[in-house]
Amino acid sequence: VKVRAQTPWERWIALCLWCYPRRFRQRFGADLSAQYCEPATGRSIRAALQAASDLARGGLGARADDLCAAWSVRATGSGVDGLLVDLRHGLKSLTHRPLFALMVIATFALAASLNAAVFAILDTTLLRPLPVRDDASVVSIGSEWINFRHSSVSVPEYLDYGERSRTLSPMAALTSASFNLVTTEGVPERVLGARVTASFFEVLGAAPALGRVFTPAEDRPGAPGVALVSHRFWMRRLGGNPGAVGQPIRFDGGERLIIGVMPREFRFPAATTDVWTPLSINPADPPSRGSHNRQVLARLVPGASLARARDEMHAIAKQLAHEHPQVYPPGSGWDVSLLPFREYLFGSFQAPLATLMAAVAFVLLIACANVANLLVARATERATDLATRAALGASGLRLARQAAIEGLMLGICGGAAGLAAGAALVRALVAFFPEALPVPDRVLTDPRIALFTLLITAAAGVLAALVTRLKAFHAPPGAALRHRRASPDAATQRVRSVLTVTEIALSVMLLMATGVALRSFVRLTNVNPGHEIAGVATARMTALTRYASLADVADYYQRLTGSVAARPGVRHAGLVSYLPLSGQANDWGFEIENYTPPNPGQPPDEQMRSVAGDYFQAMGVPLLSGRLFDWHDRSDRPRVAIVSALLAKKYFGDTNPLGRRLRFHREQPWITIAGVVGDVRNHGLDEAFVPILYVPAMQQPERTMSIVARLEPGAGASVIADAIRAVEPHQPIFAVHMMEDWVFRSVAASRFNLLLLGLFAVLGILLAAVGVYGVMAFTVSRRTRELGIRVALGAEPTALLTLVLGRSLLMAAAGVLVGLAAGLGTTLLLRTMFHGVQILDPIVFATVSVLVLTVAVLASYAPARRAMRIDPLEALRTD
Amino acid sequence: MKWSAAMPPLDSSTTPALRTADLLVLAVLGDGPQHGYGLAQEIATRTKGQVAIRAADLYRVLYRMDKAGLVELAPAARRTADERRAYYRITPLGRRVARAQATLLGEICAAIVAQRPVTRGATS
Repeated sequence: VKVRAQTPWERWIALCLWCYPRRFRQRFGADLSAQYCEPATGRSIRAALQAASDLARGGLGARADDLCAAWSVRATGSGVDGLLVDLRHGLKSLTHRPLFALMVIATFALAASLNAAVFAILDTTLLRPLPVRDDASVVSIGSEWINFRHSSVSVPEYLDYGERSRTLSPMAALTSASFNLVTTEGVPERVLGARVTASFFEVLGAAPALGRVFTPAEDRPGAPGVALVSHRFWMRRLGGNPGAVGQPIRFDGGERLIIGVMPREFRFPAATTDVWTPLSINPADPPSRGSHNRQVLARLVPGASLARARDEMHAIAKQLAHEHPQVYPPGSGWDVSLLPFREYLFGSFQAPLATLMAAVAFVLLIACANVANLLVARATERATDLATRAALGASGLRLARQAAIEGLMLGICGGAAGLAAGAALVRALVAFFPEALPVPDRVLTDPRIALFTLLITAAAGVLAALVTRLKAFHAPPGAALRHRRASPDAATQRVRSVLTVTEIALSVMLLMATGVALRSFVRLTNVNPGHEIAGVATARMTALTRYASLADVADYYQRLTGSVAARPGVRHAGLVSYLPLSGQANDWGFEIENYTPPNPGQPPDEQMRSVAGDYFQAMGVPLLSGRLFDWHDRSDRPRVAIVSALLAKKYFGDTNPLGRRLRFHREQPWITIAGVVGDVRNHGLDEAFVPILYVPAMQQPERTMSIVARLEPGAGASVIADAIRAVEPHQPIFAVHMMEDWVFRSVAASRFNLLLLGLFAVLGILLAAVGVYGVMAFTVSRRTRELGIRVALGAEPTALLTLVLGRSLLMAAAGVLVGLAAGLGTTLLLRTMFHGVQILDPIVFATVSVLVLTVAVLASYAPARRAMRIDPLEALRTD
Repeated sequence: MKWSAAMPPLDSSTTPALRTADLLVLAVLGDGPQHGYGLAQEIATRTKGQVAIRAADLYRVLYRMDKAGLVELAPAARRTADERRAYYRITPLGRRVARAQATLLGEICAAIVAQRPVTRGATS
């Protein structure tokens, strides 16, 4: 009954009536309005306000009554009893259609496993408390220079910080180290570890699992040799025997007493750290202030904030710069930087992990849309059932709750299955990519990961189930009951199509991201490294302590290199202090004769490498001008250097660098540039060429070097080990890799991210294909009658084929358009993971579009065939 | 949501005053169909003027009881000459619910009336 308002008073009353629920207005509106519009009642402002107040109270009260009725505890099936009924009903309807339930659970499990795996990694690195006491109070202290962020600290600086800071105490210095472990089997083993001051364990608040940590007396020079070992090392090398504590362990260069075993989760400064030995620092005789080679950790004193500590350290940096202007010249950009411990450990993983998490969230959304699609199809089948229940008085809220509980059960089952699959996935990732990402030990048994996974799948389940309760599906109960087999309701079809288009769009976004990442990866691997890759074998070693003086070391390395070069199958052999692409580097400041740096405070400072033997020939770095080193460039000969092309260009421009001179220190002799070689990269292929200064190892020896051998085709890297063993059986060598491996490792993180993205994208498009298939199969089965009539009226089978395929192509095209547009934005995120990402890549656009359209056609092929084969007689007979 | 006679007829979440109003409406309609204005008048008369129910609230009660199936709109044929007004009548369910509620309340009320006034601190 429409309330027709004519006079202003009537209009006013009609307006006030809007306080009442719609159903009320339809049924009682006219009558109630008539009550207030009696000619006898007054028309004053006061009366109007009174009426408004009455009607507002009554109307809102009626709405409240409606809400109470909907939630009413007394209504049948509500409350705890009702919940049990719903649970039982849900379980029954799932077991009634086990295949359907299995499909939904598998879909959720798939998405959940990816979510669990990525979340497990994210949790370990970014969220979980680190196995140190109050990790938020631990900070890393680093040096800030104009070109370096948070780099190493020198010993005098460390001593100054400890003395002057009031906000940071205790403070610890450490440096990574490696040890040659003498084993009973006779094959020496390389063990990675760290040398740490005794305060290291105090800073981290770490207690050993067995034994004790270092006492302050043990990091003094001349203290007896002691060592702590990791849990892993203790299990692997010492058989997990508690008696090992107190026993000596033999390293090349002397025995050390094992005084303790650290707990399993304690892996600092690196996951590979197996041995800790004391780092002795003699405050009376510290090394040079300019040699920055220590990492420093400290703990904020109780009550001190990171901001306060930063302010204090900046002030200390200013003092030091004032006191030692020759070390910290103005313009060098020197300052002290503080990083929270977690950022110091995992800072570089944050952005890529967040991107991966976003990608798995997409897969979950696709799965959710897919499940919603399945549930909608099922709800249509059950329309009669639902309509009957609605007619019998089940409230909309009640039906929604029923649906939500079903979704919840499906989601939780899927989540549980996904958790198990996720644990397996993490194990596989650990096996394939041991170094790419820090990964957790346990996934399945971790309550946080389990809770996260179950929560998101439960939420996805409920969300998907509630889509089926959208108003659009609600034909009035009468209508659903009257046509027992109605043709598919247009609204249902629309919602299902929208869901499918959404799925396609989401998977297009994932595919686009993968495509763009793949293109950047391919570009990366096609980069010219500046040297040979194939057939170059490398190994790294630290000269035995027997070779005490640097001259002895130089002689020793000459013998080793000669032995390697003499082996059959080896064309050239040489030595280098740090291999290209290995990520290890060392830079030195120097002074060039007759050269004034553009910024006087900033003397030249470049990468420096010691090389010996035929390093350049072995690595395939071309000589551009001048000469290479030979074994005659010894310490008693005039000092020489070779510069890379980039360095020559940077400091000498177009002039000839040959014969120009430079020196590392005022007191040291001049070094003459004897040659120019091609450029190489330092950390990885995604990095630009770096200027490098090469000096002969015979004049500037290093204890730890890499041996490089160019092999004849067919020869293996083992020739290096054999040749070295022939000279010195006790010399351990490690990191025996072909140069290909170094390339592989330098792109490992990108490869890992690409693989995961690709996996997500493939799963995404598979899910979308299932979605397309579902909609088309449903459409065909629902329209059998209509299609049958078309056939009966003479439609060609191909027309039916076109009808079905056309529809799925239409959905796919819509999905592709939406996905491409939305994908442009998300692809920007990839900049955190991949090098040189090109957003507008027409090849990617085209490939993804064609791929998705093809998949859509393939997915709808079976339903289309079914449509073609419809027998008109059969179709018309079905009611 | 449907009421059954075995259950207390009205929602406990509504206010006591309205619950009384529900019973009053049912009591009046129990004597025959009535229009809104007449209902309010009759309630005032029966409660000796102690309960004056406003139209806005009365229709809220009618709406709620209509949904619960306790009252309904009387068919047009039963209406008197005054066609402008809608008439409401009690349903059989409403009658049963009203009787069950009244019996229950009657017993409680009788018990209250039977209680002897007790003087504070006095011994009998």
